[in-house]
Amino acid sequence: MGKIYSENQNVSKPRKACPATVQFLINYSKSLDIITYNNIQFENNLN
Amino acid sequence: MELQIEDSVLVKNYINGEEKALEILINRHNQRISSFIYSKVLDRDITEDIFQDTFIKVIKTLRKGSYSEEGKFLPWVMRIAHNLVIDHFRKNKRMPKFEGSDDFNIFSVIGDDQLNAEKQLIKDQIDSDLNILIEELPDDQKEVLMMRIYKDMSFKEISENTGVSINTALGRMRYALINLRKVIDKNNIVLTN
Repeated sequence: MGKIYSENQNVSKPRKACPATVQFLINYSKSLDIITYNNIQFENNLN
Repeated sequence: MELQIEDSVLVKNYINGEEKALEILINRHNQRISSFIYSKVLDRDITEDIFQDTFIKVIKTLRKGSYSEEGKFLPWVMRIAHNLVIDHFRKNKRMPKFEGSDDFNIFSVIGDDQLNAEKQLIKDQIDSDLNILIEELPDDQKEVLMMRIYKDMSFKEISENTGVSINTALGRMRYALINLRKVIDKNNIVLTN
């Protein structure tokens, strides 16, 4: 019985994405460039 | 008391080119979104992946100017995360991934028939020792033994190939094995894996 209840203990635990993921997103945002030409948007990644 | 800038203001600032605003938004909602994703997928790595994909969508939408501000930034991001979680399960249904639990490990029933490195080394050593011993046999016995063991030929085929009767081939095989055993015993050679 104890086993059944212990299985999903972590579900309610607050989680956070790791700092590396956050940093990646910030860098991605900085490198992303959107160009509009003739009403068409082009994504450009300036890495 | 710290003054908290509203999400809608941060979104506007980000669209106007202030990168710092995005960082604040991500950090502010990191825990809520990550916990929501984790509560559905129950896997830390998948949570990270979906969190990342969610914000990539957010960034693209904001930068393209497709986001209509109605003061509901967080519910909008949660909706994106929710859709990506559904996509994940759909993809997983097409290509299910099986993972063992504490009670059952799939590798306990699926074996690997390959020898491990140590056993392979021992086997190679035995094979090479055996080759040296076979070389010591008289030619007629060696010929029959090679055909039977290494070429997997029947005694009928051996007799046809060597031009002797089946009984002679059988006799040569018998003597070949007897002689091999004699050499092995005499030299105290251990041929086991």
